[in-house]
Amino acid sequence: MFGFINKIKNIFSRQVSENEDVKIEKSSEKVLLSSNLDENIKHLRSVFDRCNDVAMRSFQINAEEPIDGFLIYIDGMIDEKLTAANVLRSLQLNPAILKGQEINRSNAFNIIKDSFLSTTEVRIVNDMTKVVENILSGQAVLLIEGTPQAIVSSVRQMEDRSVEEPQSEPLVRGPRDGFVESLRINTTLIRRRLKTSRLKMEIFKVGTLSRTDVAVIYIDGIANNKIVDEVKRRIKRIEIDGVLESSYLEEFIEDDPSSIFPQVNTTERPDRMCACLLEGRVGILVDNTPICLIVPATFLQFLQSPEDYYNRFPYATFTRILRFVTMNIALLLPSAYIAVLTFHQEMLPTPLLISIAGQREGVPFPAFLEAIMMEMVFEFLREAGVRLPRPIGQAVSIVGALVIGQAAVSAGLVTSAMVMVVSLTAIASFTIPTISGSYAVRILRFPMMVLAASFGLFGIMVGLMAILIHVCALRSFGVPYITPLAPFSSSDFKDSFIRMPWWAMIRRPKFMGLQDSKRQKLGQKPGPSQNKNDDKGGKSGA
Amino acid sequence: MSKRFVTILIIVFILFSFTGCWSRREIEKLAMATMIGTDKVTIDGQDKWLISANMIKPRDLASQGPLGGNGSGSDKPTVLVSSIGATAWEAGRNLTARLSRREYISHANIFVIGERLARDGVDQIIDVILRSKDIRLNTWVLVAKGQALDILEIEPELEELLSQEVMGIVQNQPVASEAFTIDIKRFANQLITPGQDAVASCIEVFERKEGGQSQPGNSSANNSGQKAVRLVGTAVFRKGKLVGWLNDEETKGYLYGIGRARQGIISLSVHELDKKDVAFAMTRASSKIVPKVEGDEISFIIDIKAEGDLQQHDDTRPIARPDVIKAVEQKAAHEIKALVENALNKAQNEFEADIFGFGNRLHKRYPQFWKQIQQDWREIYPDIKVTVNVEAKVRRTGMITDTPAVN
Amino acid sequence: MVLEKGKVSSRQGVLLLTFTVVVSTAVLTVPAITAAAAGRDGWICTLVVATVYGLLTALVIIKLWQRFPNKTIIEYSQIIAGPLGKVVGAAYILWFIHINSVVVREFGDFILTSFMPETPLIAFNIILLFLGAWATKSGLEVICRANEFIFPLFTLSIAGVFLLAMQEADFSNLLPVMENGIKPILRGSWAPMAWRGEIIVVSMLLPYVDDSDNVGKYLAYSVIIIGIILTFATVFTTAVIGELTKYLTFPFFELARCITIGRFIERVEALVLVMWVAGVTIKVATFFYIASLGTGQLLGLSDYRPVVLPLGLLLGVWSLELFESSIQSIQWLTEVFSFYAFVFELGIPLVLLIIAVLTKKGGQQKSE
Repeated sequence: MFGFINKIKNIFSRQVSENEDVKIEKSSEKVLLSSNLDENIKHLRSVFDRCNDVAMRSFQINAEEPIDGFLIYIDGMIDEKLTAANVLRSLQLNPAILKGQEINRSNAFNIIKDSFLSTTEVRIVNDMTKVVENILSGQAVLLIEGTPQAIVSSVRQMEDRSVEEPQSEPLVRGPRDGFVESLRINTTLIRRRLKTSRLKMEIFKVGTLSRTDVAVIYIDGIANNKIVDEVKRRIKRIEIDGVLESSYLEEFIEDDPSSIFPQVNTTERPDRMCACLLEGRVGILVDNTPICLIVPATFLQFLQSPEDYYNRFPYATFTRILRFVTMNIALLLPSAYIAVLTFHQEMLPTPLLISIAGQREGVPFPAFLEAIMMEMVFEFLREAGVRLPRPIGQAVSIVGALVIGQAAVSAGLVTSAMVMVVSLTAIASFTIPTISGSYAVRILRFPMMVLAASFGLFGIMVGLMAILIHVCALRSFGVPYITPLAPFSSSDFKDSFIRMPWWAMIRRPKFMGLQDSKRQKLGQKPGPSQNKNDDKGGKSGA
Repeated sequence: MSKRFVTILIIVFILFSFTGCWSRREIEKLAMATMIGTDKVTIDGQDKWLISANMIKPRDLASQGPLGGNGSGSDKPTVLVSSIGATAWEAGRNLTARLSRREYISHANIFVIGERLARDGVDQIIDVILRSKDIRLNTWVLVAKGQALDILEIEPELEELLSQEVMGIVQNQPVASEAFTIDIKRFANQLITPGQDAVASCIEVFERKEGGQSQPGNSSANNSGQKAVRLVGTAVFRKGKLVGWLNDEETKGYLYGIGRARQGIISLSVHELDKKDVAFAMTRASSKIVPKVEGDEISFIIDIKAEGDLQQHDDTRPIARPDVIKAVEQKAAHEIKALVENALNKAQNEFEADIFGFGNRLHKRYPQFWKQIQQDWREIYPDIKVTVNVEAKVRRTGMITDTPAVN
Repeated sequence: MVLEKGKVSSRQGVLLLTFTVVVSTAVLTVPAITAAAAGRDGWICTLVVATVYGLLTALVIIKLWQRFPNKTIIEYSQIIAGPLGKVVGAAYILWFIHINSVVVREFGDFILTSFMPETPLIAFNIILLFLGAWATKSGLEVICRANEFIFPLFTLSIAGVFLLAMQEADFSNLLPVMENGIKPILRGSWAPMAWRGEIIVVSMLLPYVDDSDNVGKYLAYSVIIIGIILTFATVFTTAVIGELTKYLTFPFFELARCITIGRFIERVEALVLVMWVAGVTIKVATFFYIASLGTGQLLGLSDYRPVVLPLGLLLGVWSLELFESSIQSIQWLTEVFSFYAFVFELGIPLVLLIIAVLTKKGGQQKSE
């Protein structure tokens, strides 16, 4: 018996011992290039041993004496035509074109670097590590005999998805471009919207094997420098072998990983990203994924969709309040159903009570089990719906739930009221705009049901208070999670449940501690033209 | 997963599996009572309490169609259960003892007190009602002429459940203003307020005469001799004991007197003295009771203002003229005054019960004086003078003005 | 040593928090206590006498705080009264714990009586204390923030109750006013006064308040607004329930039961209940917090959090053992609580202030 207890103890206390540390590949020590081309070539061949996609091309430059050159790149990552035209051809042109220039071993490098190459970007690197890095990043590296330096030219071109409407955040009104996998295209999409030099982008490479480019983007002078520094600090300290998706980063930079609530916002839309940047938030773009992170995140952001800003404000306010209501429904409806039916039957009007009691006559399970069963079935259906092709997935899960529900009612397993409750809950949970927010609500539903079954409405309130206390204690990069509700600030409230018209939202969100909080001029409320002479006809004349 | 988190999880898990939600009531294990009746009976020479309740019979509505009242005989939606005990609670528990389900009275909004129990004194039953957490303060209280048990047996006419029927009748009262309605809160208040005697609604069973619809092919529905309930008049209490009834005319007067009449009908004779040819339909009425103390003389003035429409005119003589209307108004005022004085008379002289709450008003207006005479109020009360002033106004005459003459 | 690093705004900590702390249980039982003593004039006790007392207490607290702006009452009582101050501090901590147990017990009794009689009391107590402990461990900011969040809902539910019950109100029930003179009013005032004085909790929180200029103002507002709301509650209770008020254990709750909107919305008192749960949780959390903080300060700890668990156990046991029956608890609340509370709410602070003035302790700083 003690062995068993010991085993349990071990599970809890086992630390990752030093030996089992993830073998972080030590980057190669600084190996400098040598003047001898053959040595460099040998080193490179050994590094890229058995890498079939690395292409190497030796050539000769026709100068006074033929100078050996070497071009190395990764096949598929470069623009071949460009390379052929701008790099190779330039070098193999008869130097007789350069009249009067004498090219020999000593000055070949500089002349080539300055005069010959027609690519847009040219850099010099000195050590092997950088050479390897650049090759792996899709650059073409040129080595010349006699010079311990290498020329890196940007000829990158890779297969990229074309910019199309983001699948996870479709809108009726609004731009239809979404982020793609390539970091450069993504940064372009942002840059073209915010044409200011104050838009800063800092690149980090994260992941020892993946060396993924991570861009931290913010607007200088608006974003709080402390937050920016914190973001950079957290990203820099990540030591992992590979970063394949932004979610890897998300889990490393969260404030409270044990919380069920997401503390980092994600988006696939450049317009949303830019709006957040204008508010003073910091964006994190990760190469190879279209999903980008935005910090700091607040709770209400998970109920907001960019469409709120593109529709007129009465409708936007209406939909926001609607979403808040549906979020509550998604969280509380099954629990409320259980609580009322099990503990507080007096709350129902008598005819309804009689009707439900009649329905429950034939059902063998107590209300709680009934609810849990139906909710689980619905979760199964939803998960199954994800595997189906996108257009029909959602529809299938809802319709499936109803059909199964109906069959269950006929079989006498559940009541029709329960089916209604489950369907309403499901529909309500679909209205939550962000996926991570809806997950939180969906999961919290179940503990609430247990509490409701144990203590009725009192239990539900206890659950809500527990969630409230947790959420009040949560911070995202120093910003309290449920601003602007508590601490309450009326100017921030203009953009929470309601959306005031654009001419009324004068300030940027206060809670960010921003430097530059005024975003527009006062007094821009529109009205009819003031010029009375515009009114033709009317009083004068017959 | 940190250690602490797992510990908490284990504790919570144990907590929930060993505890078992104690106060849980599964809805299908409830016997829902819709009406409750209390009686006093004598069995073997001993006085016992009889508690009766109309319980809803569970039925699976999904597999059966809509409930029809007619049809296969004994398809009543409720079942009447009753039991006896030495105290009211004991009787209630005896009831639970023989039921297959837990009784549930939170939905019962009608409480019927049997006549005998009312005559013996209602203070005990009020204590039971107030102490119980399930009976709300706005449950309607009715006193039955006879036994409460008989009332609960009746089949409803228009509604499915008797309680809904009685509720509907009670809520309809403001339209007819012929019967008194009260809830437990007000009733208990009246009982304990000095200078006020309690009144309650009066409910009785009556037999429908012939002329009720008989539908072919049905055996037991709506034939002559069918019993129904109705609210008529008022039950008058004195010091917490039932002392008598006010009939519907007297109740009308009482309602006018205390300002609770809403939309009743007054029938008047305007053109000829022996025929009631005008129906005056009240739309609103209010009353003010003002106490006056001069030295040792106590008197009260009741000012009643009523206004309404002319709804029936049984004569071809012109009616829609200001001077004729004036006469109608005066007649109406006269009539109302008579009604109120009638009620007053009965309350003061026959019952000696201060149901208008004169003492209470005196208390509010002249608190020091009231302190002196409070002890003797019961003796003083029958002799106080009450002046009734009524002002009636006819506002409209319906869709036509004069009555069209028939040729 | 600063045990609490959080900062709250004066609006959060002073105005809103005191409101929830006082009103959540005051609205439950006080109308019955005042009705028993003063009859239908109970509202005068709440409006006039208790408010005056509350303002007096507030004045003393502010004056003491102005002399010791960064210290809680536990800390400055040690400065003012020397070694005796430690005794005073310990007494306060015990008082906080005692009151907390009473609150937990009271509320548990209430839910038991009204909703779930079969559930053992310990379940409610454990849950309330668990929430309170969690909030305490999370810190002052969290308590104030959570309170700010539920404040509108809480107030709305209370206001909603008496506004919706208005259709049944008969204001002549309030007449005659003061028929028995001033004595019953004074007698009925002990309880509202004691409840109003619970603003003393602020003396433990003021050092952590951000903007000090508004403290005095907000504290006064708080006393007055609490007074107004409770007066309304008492007035409406008397208007609707009349003479019965003094017999009922939870008159305001009965009022909630009388609400009918149309013919459809009835029997919704359970919704009112849940709002009160929120309010009482905050109250329990606040008292728990100041007890833990005070203990930390008294014992010179560097962090008050380790104290939370033992205090919680103490609270749990005490709340169960305090009273044997609801009769005892009501009697205690009616007769003993008020005077016991006066000592700690006004008595000791006043003495401390006088000593501080006489011995010229503490800075004469004006609030910034």
